[in-house]
Amino acid sequence: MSDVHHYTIRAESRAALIAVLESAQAGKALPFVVEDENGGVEVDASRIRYPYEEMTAATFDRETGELVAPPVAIGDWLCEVWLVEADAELAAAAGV
Amino acid sequence: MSYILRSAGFAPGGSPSWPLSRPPSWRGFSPAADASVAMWWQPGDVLALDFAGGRYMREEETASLAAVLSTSRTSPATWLTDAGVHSIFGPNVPAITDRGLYAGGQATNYVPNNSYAGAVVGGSFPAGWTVSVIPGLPWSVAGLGTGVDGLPYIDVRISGTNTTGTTQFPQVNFTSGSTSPVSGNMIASARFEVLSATLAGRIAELNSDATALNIPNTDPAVYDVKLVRAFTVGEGMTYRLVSQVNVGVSINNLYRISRLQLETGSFASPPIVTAGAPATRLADSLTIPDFAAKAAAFGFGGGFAGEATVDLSRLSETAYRLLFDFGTDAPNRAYLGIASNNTVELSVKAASAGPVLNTAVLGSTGQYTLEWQVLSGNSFIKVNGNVAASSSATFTIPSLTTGYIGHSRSGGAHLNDPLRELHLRGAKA
Repeated sequence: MSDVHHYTIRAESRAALIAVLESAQAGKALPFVVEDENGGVEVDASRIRYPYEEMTAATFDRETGELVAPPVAIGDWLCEVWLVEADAELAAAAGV
Repeated sequence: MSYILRSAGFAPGGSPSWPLSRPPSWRGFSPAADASVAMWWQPGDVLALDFAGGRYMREEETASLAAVLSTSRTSPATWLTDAGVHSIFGPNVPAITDRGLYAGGQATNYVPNNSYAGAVVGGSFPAGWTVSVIPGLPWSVAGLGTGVDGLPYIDVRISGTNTTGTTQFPQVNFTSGSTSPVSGNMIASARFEVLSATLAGRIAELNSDATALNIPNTDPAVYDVKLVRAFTVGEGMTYRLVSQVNVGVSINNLYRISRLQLETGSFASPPIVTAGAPATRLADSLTIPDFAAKAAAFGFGGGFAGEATVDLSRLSETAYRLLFDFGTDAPNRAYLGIASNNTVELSVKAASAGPVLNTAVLGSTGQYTLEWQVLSGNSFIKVNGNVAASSSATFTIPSLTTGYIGHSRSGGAHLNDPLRELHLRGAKA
């Protein structure tokens, strides 16, 4: 995916992430957020990885490979966006 | 004559819309002199998409793929040919081979290095993999290359004797340091080929012993592995190549491994190439360009029909898999697909009101020809030429604003199987 623009957006919740995307899509031909069949909202899965919680890295035992400390939610949500053309609003939201 | 009056091949004035130099044979004319433009579609078709054959028609004229299908997917995707060779399709390029169009949903491969970056024959294992160190039972990288399926492989050997005094489980871990991103099923898939072996038994496992591949004997063989296990979010994931070697036992096994993948759910999607970190294959968004104008010109607002040929590779999945979804929004759309109960379902809703037709449960996987008609008072589904569901209900056809192929309008419910052909035509009373 080297020939596309990649943005990682971070927000305090999934809803906040959706709000960022909704704000960024204003006036654009293709929306970043779409309505799903149940009346909810979902990201455009053809350009955006489904939002997920940001976690700390897990700790594993070097000898046995067993999990010592599981990952813990940091409190933020992430989504990654890949676009063919640069997007100033997403760049700003991503802090690029 | 009634058929001719309804045929989209005629403009309102009554003149045929096909070129006079190439009258269609289905109207009783001689076959076209030029074999390259001989008619391959069905009588009455206004849009015919032969993905497997690489030919497309709109209103009796050969059309380019771009004229009949728009694709959005800003990641690469892989898909197979009939010969079993994988092709990699770039961003926004539809995954079409001689098997058909693959309309795929979003998936992330959590095996971080399935392209074996960093591996050296006789030396290092791929970056990010961990290998057990057990005296007398060493693993080694025996080969690297690209298989006849077009994907990279790695040959791995374990050779030695267990002299430690206890049963050993020498292993190569593909997902060291990974934890489950979800609470729910994860599926590990791969191709493990036994090139030579002296010891049968365990080859691969996903965490627990209950989710494992065991070979029954030492014969060379190919195993396409799918291991499904339920995880809790944050639980460690260990997808590994492993052997059980009892005390005093010798082993000299050589494996060829390819297509390593670990993803959420219980469906193994086509390979997603990774080279150091998990990678996401984004979903396909496939639409018929200018669908609203085409649907109006073709008279689909009064009813439409069609035919599709699809290869169904699985029937146990509790997910909808749509062939098309035409409409405006969730309450106003018509779709055809495989429902979560593995029936074929045709739904027509305007303002959330309208019929839903379901066939009997499909009995087996394989290639199906599905026909449908959406017409108030006379709707039906045919499976392999036989009427499998019908309805005389009257209804309003929703406004056909957008036309999605191979998935639902929200980007979910992907077919995740090859659509070989799709034909659309006006409905007949």
